[in-house]
Amino acid sequence: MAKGQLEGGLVKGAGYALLEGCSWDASGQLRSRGLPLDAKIPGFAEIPPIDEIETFFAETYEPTGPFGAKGIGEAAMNPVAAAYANAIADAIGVRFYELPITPERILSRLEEG
Amino acid sequence: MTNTHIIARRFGYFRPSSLDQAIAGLRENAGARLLAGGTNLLVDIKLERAAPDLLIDISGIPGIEGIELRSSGISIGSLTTIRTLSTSDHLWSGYTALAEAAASFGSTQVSARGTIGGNVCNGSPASDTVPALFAFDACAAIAGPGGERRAPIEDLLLGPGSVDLKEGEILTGIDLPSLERSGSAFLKISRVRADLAKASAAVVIVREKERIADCRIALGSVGPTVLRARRAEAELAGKVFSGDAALAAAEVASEEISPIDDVRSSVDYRRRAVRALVFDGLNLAWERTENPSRPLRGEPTSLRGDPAPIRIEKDGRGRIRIIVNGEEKAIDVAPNELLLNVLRERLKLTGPKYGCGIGECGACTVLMNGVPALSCLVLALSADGARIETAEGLGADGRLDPIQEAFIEENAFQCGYCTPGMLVMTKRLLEEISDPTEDEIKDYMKGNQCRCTGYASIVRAVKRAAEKGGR
Repeated sequence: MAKGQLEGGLVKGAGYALLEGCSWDASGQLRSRGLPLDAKIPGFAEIPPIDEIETFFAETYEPTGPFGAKGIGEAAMNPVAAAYANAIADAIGVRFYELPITPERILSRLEEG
Repeated sequence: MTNTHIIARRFGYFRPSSLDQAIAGLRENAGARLLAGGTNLLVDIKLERAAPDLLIDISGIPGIEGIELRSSGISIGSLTTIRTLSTSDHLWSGYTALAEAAASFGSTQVSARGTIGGNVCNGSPASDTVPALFAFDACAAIAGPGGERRAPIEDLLLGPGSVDLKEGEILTGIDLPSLERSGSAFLKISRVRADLAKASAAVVIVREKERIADCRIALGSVGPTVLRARRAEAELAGKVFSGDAALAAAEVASEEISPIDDVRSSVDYRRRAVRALVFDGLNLAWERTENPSRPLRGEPTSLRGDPAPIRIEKDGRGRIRIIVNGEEKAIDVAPNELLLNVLRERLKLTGPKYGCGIGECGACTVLMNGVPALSCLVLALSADGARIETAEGLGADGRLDPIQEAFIEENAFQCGYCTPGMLVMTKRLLEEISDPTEDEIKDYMKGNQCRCTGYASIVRAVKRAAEKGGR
């Protein structure tokens, strides 16, 4: 179950890093208005091969939680966008400070030189 | 935001048993729209993009479904489902780009009920099948009050949502000419796999030794309609094939388009995408002139049941008989009532969930005559006579189904909202393919979203269910 929480956080983090964003048209109207047609989240086809997703646990005791327990799914989401941004910076030498890092944004930054 | 849980609009429902009755129905009612799979039209009604007064359900009309091989090529009935195209060995070997375009549809559920006729008549520049049809020089067969006529598909599509069908006319079929020594490919770039195209390209090459005897390139999502890159085609005709020639043609094609900035992509990106898609498509099509593509595994689907013709007015109700999880039910429903509404609110079967209401999430999936259907996009009246299975129907005598056991053993759920849809999808997948690969699982289930997001454990559960022998 804990492994599922971690994997879930990783996939959600990937969506946050690469897909999920808001855009506005020239008149300032929000383009994504709550319909899942407008804003995409990751699906089955977006996750890596399942054998390549590895999870590790460092067992600790959290004194403020019941029986030493601590939340796990949300925390797993936090480092994902930074990991993608670092990998992209390593690959193409461009650092992004804005999410999501879409193909459109990468292309336009590459063209700026 | 619009309420997509129900259809608020009221309309009449007419299910004719012949083409002539359907044509007469269209002529007599200016506000009538044709309904087949409903995967586009019902979304448009919910989002108030369409406001029909009468829906004419043509799914019971005989003689306009299926793929027929002829000496001059193939003939596809307009009621043929997208799933039937993407699982046809004949299309994969002779008309690969069309099979590939059908396979690239956003979800198995939409392909299982969506039809080629509907996809064309929707008039969308982002259609997946239309670029392939353009590239194969397809011809439409149209029936109308004045008899039958034929027209090139290209002439039929006038602009976004605008299709050149006259009053009372119905698209009945699409003919593709036969092509010797040819290869073809359809390529698409989208935000996620289960999505409309940011840009797409269909390429057909007819080969004469090392030369390109004929070449056709059609592009989707980069103009008001799907368009042919005729200057790029002319650039290549008669030339010896080479990577440089393909690249030069791809450059030309990227200048022939008129893309826009929208929620899916930008003008600049689309131009670059078209260049890459055309280059890759040309190489792939050329390669396939010698090595044809391998078909995908899976079964075709059909909308046809044997419902008797009926006509129900706006304020009326009609009685449907459906077999739900093995039990026969007779229910009086209004024309605008959805199968999901009937299952959840009338029959108290809360397995199928209301998620997005527009066919993007898969939470409402049920099996209808064994085939995955989005119950939020099926009129209850269209389900008349059907066998419906929901997650509640899995397992028997207080024992769980092996699929349910596998999901529990793999912890393949967190909040559980998507699970009933995932379970019935798994059931059907294992009936179609008893030993699916990871890619086949991901592709079959691509239209079912899990926001928690337990895709990896669901894939493991489907594999475990397959090992248990599924069903």
